[in-house]
Amino acid sequence: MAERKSDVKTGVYVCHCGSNIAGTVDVEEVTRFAQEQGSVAVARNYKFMCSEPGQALIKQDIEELGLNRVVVAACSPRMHEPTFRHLCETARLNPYLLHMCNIREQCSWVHKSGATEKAEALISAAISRAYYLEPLQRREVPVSPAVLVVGGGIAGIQAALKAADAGRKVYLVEREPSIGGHMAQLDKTFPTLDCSACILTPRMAAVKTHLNIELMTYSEVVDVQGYVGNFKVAIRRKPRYVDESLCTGCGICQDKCPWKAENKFDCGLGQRKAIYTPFPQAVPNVPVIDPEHCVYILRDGKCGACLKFCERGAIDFNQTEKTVELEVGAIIVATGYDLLDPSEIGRLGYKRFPNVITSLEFERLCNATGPTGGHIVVNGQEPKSVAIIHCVGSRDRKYHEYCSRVCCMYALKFSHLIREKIEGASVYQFYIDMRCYGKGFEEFFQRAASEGATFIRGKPARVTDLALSDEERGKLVVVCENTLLGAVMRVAVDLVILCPAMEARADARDVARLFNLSQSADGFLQERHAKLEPVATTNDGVFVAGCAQGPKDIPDTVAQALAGAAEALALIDTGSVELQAATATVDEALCQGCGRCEEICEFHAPTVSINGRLIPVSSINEAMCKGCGVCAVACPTGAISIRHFTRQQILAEVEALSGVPV
Amino acid sequence: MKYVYYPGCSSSGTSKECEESLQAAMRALGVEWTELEDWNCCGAAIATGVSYLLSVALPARNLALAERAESDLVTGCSRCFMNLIRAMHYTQRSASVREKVNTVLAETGVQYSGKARLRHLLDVVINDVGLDVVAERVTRPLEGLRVAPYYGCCQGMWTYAQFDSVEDPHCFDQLLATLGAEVVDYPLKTACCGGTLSMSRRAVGANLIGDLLAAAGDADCIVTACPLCMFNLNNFQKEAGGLKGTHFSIPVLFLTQVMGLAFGLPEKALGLQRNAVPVGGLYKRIAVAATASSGRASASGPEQEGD
Amino acid sequence: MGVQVDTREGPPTPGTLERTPFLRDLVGNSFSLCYQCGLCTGSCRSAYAMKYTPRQVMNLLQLGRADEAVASGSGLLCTACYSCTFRCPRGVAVTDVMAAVQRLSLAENHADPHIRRFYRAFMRTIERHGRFHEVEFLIRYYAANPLRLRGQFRVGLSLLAKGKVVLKPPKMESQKAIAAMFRKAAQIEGRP
Repeated sequence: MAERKSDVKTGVYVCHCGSNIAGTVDVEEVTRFAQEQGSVAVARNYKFMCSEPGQALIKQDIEELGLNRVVVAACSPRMHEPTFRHLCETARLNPYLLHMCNIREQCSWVHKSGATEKAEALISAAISRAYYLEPLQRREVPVSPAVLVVGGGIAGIQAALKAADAGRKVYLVEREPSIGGHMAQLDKTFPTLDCSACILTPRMAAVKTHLNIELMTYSEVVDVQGYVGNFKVAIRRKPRYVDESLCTGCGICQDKCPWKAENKFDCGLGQRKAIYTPFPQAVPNVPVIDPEHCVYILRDGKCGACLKFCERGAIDFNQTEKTVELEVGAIIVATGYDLLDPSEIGRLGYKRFPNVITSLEFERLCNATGPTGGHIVVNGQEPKSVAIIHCVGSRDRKYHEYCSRVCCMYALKFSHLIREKIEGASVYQFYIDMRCYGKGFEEFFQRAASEGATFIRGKPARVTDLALSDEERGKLVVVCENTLLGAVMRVAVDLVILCPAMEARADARDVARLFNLSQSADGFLQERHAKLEPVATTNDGVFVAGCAQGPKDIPDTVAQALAGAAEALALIDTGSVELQAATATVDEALCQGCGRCEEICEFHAPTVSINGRLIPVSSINEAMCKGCGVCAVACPTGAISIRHFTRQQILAEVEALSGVPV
Repeated sequence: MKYVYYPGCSSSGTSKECEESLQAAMRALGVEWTELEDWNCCGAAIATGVSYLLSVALPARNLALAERAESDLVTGCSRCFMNLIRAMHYTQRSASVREKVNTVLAETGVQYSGKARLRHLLDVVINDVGLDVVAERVTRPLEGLRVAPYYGCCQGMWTYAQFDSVEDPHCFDQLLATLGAEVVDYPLKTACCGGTLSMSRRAVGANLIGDLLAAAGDADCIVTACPLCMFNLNNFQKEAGGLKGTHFSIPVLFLTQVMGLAFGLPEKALGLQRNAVPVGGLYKRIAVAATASSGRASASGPEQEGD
Repeated sequence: MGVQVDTREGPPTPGTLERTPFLRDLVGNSFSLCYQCGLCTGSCRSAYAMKYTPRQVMNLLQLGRADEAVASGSGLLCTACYSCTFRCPRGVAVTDVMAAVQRLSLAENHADPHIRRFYRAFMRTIERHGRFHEVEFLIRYYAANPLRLRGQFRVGLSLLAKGKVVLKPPKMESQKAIAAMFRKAAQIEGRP
């Protein structure tokens, strides 16, 4: 151990954290221990170090005692390192002369005995490391003032509009030919029974006409490089084969096209043409040609009806895929959800019986722009009795353990719609719990009940067409224990609507990789903090909003979208971003130019090039470097070290912990 | 292909026809097997009512014996299969269960380490032998015969989860279709027949059996993959009919009996004369279709021994 | 009687689990996960004949009222088809819990005497021969109440006529060892 220099003055501050730490660690004892360590000028303990009086203690000591090292023994640095760093700055001490020692998550919270001894060991290591800390300067880099919004559903639309209204340039990228997302498929929305299209389409139109929004539909993000404030994004724009600048949206091409395909927007219930807009209110109102069904493309020039009839000459089969490169400062990922496919759950008969449909399919039947013009007709008949089965694949260990949040409410909405559209229809709600937690939700539940829906508490065991009586003949029978009565019931109905779980998109994993995000255990994209940071992610500068983050209804989606916009704007409005100082640095004298660091770095920070002395050496782009340390480990000569985590600093900790001189 | 076979207690008695036809059909498919030496009863559905430890240890002994013989174990009885695989899973999941079971097994000089692999007959026929080989052996396709495939309850989550669907399996349907039969949609194909309830709680057992018989609709026969289901569906048609206010007289055949019929094996070899509900009427159906499609099938039923 | 909720590290709940320590190894307190959805009961083929359905049995166990579940005899109607266990959204080992209840119903004389005799006679033949012997079982079962034979004649004669009744008891080498297994199991489980 090197001789202690007498001009290093360390202040050690032990936090009680209420009883979180003080409950298992003897903080007085630990403080006494710390005071005895060499280089420690003062050691204190306090109930909540992060509070104002706690911080004031530290500031006062720095100013009056001339401390030049601060060790705070408290919670995880992930919680309050920024807090104490900022405090050091206000006391005019370089923030990198602070070391936070975790005696909570890694000590008092996990040990019932021995916590005090461990805390002392950790603090002694912290003091040893702090001794070797160096002041570091943080760099500022300018921020690109544009925002990228990925996904054009209601979340993406609202986020884009808000950021654009604030005067920022917004790129809105949507994979489908039109924006609108799942909300465009809905008929009426709970609990107000607002028509979904009526509230959505004005926003869609606003996106189209907003001067600050560049809308790219039928496009996908294919690459993301860079770092917070300075992202370089590559967008793949699929060829529409229709010139957007010439098309007037008259629709004649769609009328004349003889080729049909399944309409994805109608959940496969209806058909569309090979040249199509997914729905009449599409934005942009420019069709696309589906190369898998267009005979002109498939058979080299046969057909060509659209070419013939388009008065503007907007059809252009020569279009090709294009890649566009954008520079943005913040990204909002709002890629939405998928519904579980209930054919996995064989006992409910989806795909086996035509009269078993999903909620989204039912929305298309109710919707005036749907395949049946808004009439509830299944298999050619109007159902007189309908069963709505909740929790299909939700709250179920075998599929998804979580609750999908919206199904109880839209099931009630269906009740209302069915009884409104079909005179005298019976509606049976098969539920386990009724989750009506939001504003106006419980009242809506009362309304649905008073309109005459029948509620049967039980999770149906199966849907069968095996009739056991005359009444059941020709119908579907839902077999279920009515748990409130304590008896198994058979309910014969004409139509069964399933409420499938809302799940993460099928390609959520790819999206997560692309934007360097984590997925939660349930597959959705993960927020940075479950309580306090619902739209930020662990990747600075990338935010997530809407159902991509987890199941939620429209108001919650919009709230997150606006939050995402606020986060993006806050980031951009400062004009610059401060980069963290703990980055890698190369000692050119030791560097052999082998390139191993360049190979191994995920963030593309090191590059090997010929330096001024004509020797190949590595140099680190500090803006890209995250300070993860992988290059330092890979470097065979030890030329790379990480600032704030030098060998000397780390080994000092090890030596203090192990008692073995290193 | 060689296997070690666990016959189960009913194979020599109440399910004799299942055993006889199984041996004949497997021989025709070129599958060799030897009977597991010194096997004991698996505990049926009764041991769990008396002792949980025995309900795991009794089947575990057979697995231990198979381990010692260094072989996979195959069984044709679904209930035995379920008991054996349960024993396998439970001893694997819990060290203390394994310990207690082995303490009991020590009394018979064997120990079970969890290595033995267990297969059901249906799984072996479909996945090891393969439907192509089965198709090759068919000399008298069962055209014109409408069959309801009754899988029974026991295999579900233990077997079909691996290569089929638990709730809506199709492997048995496919096998029967390969034999040339017309497979009808049978909504209760995996619904339990009630097991031993037919004897211990006659009213409930007969009710369940009645549901199964009624659901077969106008199928010519029901084909089962389980000897216990075979016993229940065959022998309680009168009681079930009484309960349901109707009359049931539907032949119920075992999976290997139907296979043997399609392979052209003799009636006696398949134990068809032992089925409680006479199966004679079925021959006419197959024969009529056969005469219609090819000229050479005989119109008087399967070959008698000595043909 | 208050509601008892315990953790995996705490003491076992009273009733069933206390009295079948072996079962706790396998199912622990899995019934505490039950959120009463009724899927088990809806799937159960014999629930219609039960006084307390499988779901209600789980509820009784959660409340510490195992005695009522045991007295009801519901466990005896379980055919162990495992539909409930397969489908349960909470992963409750329903079948195994019902089996525990069944065991107690039998052991504590809540079942009809003929049912108890059914189980005992069955197991006795296995204990003696290592394999089930139908004829001996029938004799043991019906000896105490020959009148019950009335309903069985038709089936019995049919089996006899088709050569499916084996009079000779089965023989296997380790017969005595099987009996020793029975004794050992009884000893470990604290049964008489």
